[in-house]
Amino acid sequence: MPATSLEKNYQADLTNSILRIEAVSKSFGYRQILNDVHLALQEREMTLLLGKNGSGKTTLMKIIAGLVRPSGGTIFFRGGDITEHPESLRSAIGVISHQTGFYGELTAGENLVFFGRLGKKDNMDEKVRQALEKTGLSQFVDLPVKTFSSGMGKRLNIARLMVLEPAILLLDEPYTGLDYDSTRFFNEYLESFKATGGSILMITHQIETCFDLCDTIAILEDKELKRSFVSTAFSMEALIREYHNLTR
Amino acid sequence: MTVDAEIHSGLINLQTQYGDNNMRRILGILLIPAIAGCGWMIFFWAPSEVSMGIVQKIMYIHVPSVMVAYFSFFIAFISSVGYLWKRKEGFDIVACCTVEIGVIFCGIAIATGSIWARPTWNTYWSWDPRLTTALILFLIFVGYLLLRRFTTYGEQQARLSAVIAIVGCLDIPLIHMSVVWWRTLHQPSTILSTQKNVIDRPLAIMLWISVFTMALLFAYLLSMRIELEQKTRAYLKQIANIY
Amino acid sequence: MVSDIWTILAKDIKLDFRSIENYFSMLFFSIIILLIFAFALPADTHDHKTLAPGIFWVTFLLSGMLSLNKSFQMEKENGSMEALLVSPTSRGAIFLGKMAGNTVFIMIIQAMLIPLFSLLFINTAISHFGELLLLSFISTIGFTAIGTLLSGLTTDLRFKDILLPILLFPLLVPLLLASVKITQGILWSQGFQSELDWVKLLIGFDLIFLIISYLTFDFVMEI
Repeated sequence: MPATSLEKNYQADLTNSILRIEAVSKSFGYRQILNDVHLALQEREMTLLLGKNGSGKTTLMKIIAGLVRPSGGTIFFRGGDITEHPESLRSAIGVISHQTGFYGELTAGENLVFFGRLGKKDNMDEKVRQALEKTGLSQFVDLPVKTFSSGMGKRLNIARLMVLEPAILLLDEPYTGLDYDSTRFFNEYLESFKATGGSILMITHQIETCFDLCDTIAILEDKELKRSFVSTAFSMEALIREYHNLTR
Repeated sequence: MTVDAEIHSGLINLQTQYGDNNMRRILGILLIPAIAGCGWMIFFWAPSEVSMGIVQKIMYIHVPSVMVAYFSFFIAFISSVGYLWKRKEGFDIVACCTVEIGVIFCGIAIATGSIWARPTWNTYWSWDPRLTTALILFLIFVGYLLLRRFTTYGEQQARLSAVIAIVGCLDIPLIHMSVVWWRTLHQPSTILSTQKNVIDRPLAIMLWISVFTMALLFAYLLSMRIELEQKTRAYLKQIANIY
Repeated sequence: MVSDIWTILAKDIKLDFRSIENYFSMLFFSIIILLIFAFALPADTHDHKTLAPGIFWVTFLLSGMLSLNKSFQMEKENGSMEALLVSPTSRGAIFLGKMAGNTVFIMIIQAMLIPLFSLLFINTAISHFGELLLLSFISTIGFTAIGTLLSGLTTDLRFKDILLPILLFPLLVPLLLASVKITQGILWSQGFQSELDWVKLLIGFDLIFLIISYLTFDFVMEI
C-alpha cells in the first residue's frame, strides 16, 4: 500500500480545515469504540471514511453531528471549540443516515418546510419549490411521505439538503437503494456542492460509485484512524483490493 | 497469554491496585462495640416511656433509619448533579451506591414504623404523613434502581439515572407538604410526629446515640458498597477489553 | 426559539389530526376506564359523591400516559427524532414544543371527558365545566412537564411502557392530591377560593417542574 510519503500530514493542513477532530475517543459501557482519532475536513473536498463493519464509522459521524457526546477529545468548527457553541456547527451540517427522518403523515412539501423553518432558512417556499424541481419530485409535493418508495425517500433527503444549504455534508451509506439515474443525479449534486465550497464526509461500501469525487481517503482500523491519504495516490482497483483485505 | 491467564493476572492487579480499604476496616472495627454498646443502652440504660412501655424502644431504630435514608438520598442528589456537571464516573458510583443503601434504610424505616403503629393504634398502616412520604420516596428510588437495571452500564445509564435522582429529590418537599395537608384535615396530629417535640432528656440522649450508631453503620455499608462497585467495574472493564 | 416551539407544536397538531384515530382511541380508552370504575364501585350515589373526583383524576392519569407514549413514538418511527436533534433547534425548544403538543392533545380529550363524567357520576359537574376545564389545564401543565421529560428519557429503553408509569406516578402524587381536593371544592364548595392553598401548591408544582424539566431535557436527549 502507499508509502508514508504519500500519507497526508494533517498537522500541515489545519489552517484550511473547516472541521477538525482532535484526540476523540468514545466508549460505550465497557467497550471502547474509538480511541485517539484525528481527522480534518477541508472545504471543496470529499473525505471517504472506510472501515469494516463495527469499526466505529457511524459513531464517529454521530459525534460530529452532535448526536453522541465523545468520551474525550475536542471538535473544532471554523477554528472554534464546538462545546461552547454547539448550534454553530449544527446549523452548518446536513446529514443522510440510515433512516430517512421524515414524518410519514406529512406531505413532502410540509416536511421540507418544517425542517427548513427549524434550520432558520428564509424564502422557504421558493427554496422548497426549487429543491423539489431539481430532485424531480415536484408532482409529489402534496403527497404524504408514507406513500413514497424508498428511492423517492432518498431523493427527498437530497431535496432537504438543498433547502438547508449546509456547509458540511455527513453521508452514511447514501447510495443504498438508489437506482443508476438517482446515483448519477446524486453525484452531480455532490460535485456542485464541492464546487460551491462545501465539505463532505462520506461513509460507503460502494467505492466505485464515488471514487472520482474523493479527495481524501481515511481508514478507521482498530479504533484509530490509522491511515489517510490523497486519493490520487493509487488506482481505484488498488483501493478496492485494500478495502477487501481490510474487511476480511 | 491465554485468556484465562490474562483474567487471572488482571485480578491480581486489581487486588494490588485497590489493596485493602483502610477506611472500611476502621469503620468496621468501630462499629462492633458501637452497635453492642448502643443495644445494651437501649434496653438497660434508657428509661421506659410511660404510656407505651417497651414498644417505644423501636423508635431508636425507626427515627435514625428515617434520618439516614433522607441523608443518603441527599448525597445521591449532590452526586447526580455532580455527574451531570463534571461527567466523572466517581459521581455515578457514589450516586448508585447511596441510592441502594438509602432504599434499604427507607424500607427499614417504613417497616419499623408499621410495627410501631400496630400496638399503638391497632393498625399496621395509618397513613401517617411522614410514613406515607417515606413510602413514596421508597417507590421513587426503587424506580431509580429499576431504571439502572433496564439500562446497561455506560454513560447513558449514569446520565438518565442522575436525571431521575435529581427530579425525585426535588419533588420531596412538595410530596411532604401535600401529604401532610391531605391527612391533617382528617386526623389529629399523630403521636409519631409530636413525639420528638415533647421528649424527655434521657430518651433524647438515647435517640442521638442511636442516630450516631446508625450513621456509623451507614458509613460502613457505604464504603463497602463503593469499594465493591469500583472493583466490579474495573474487573469487567478488563475482561471486556481482552476480547 | 419561540418560532421553533411553534413550528414543532404546529407539526404535532397537524400529525395528530392526520391520524385522527389517536384522538378516538384515547377518548374511548378514557370512556372505558370511567365505565370500569362505574361497574367496579358501589352504585350508591352517596359513595359516588366521595369517590367521583378521584375517579376523574385516575382516568386523567391513565389516559394521559397514552398521549405521552404517542408523542415520542411519532418521532421514532422514521428516525425523525435524529433529524430534529441534528437541526439547529435547541433541546429546550424541542422539549417545550413536545410538551405543548401533549398539553393540547390532553386538553381536547379532557374537554370531552368532563361532560361524560357529569353524565355517569356527578350530574351537577357539567354546570362547573369552565372551572373543571381550567383546573384540568393547570394540572395538565404539571403532568406534561414531568411526563414529557420522563417519556423522552424512557423512549429508547427496554420495557419503556412499564418503566414510564413506575417512574412517573410517584412523582405526581402532589398533583393528584391537589387536583382531587380542588375538584371537591369546585363541585361542592366555592370553587378555587375554598381550596386556595391547594391551588398554590399545584401552581408551584407546575412552575418548579416546568423549569427543572426544561433544564434537564438536554441531558436526556444526548444519544
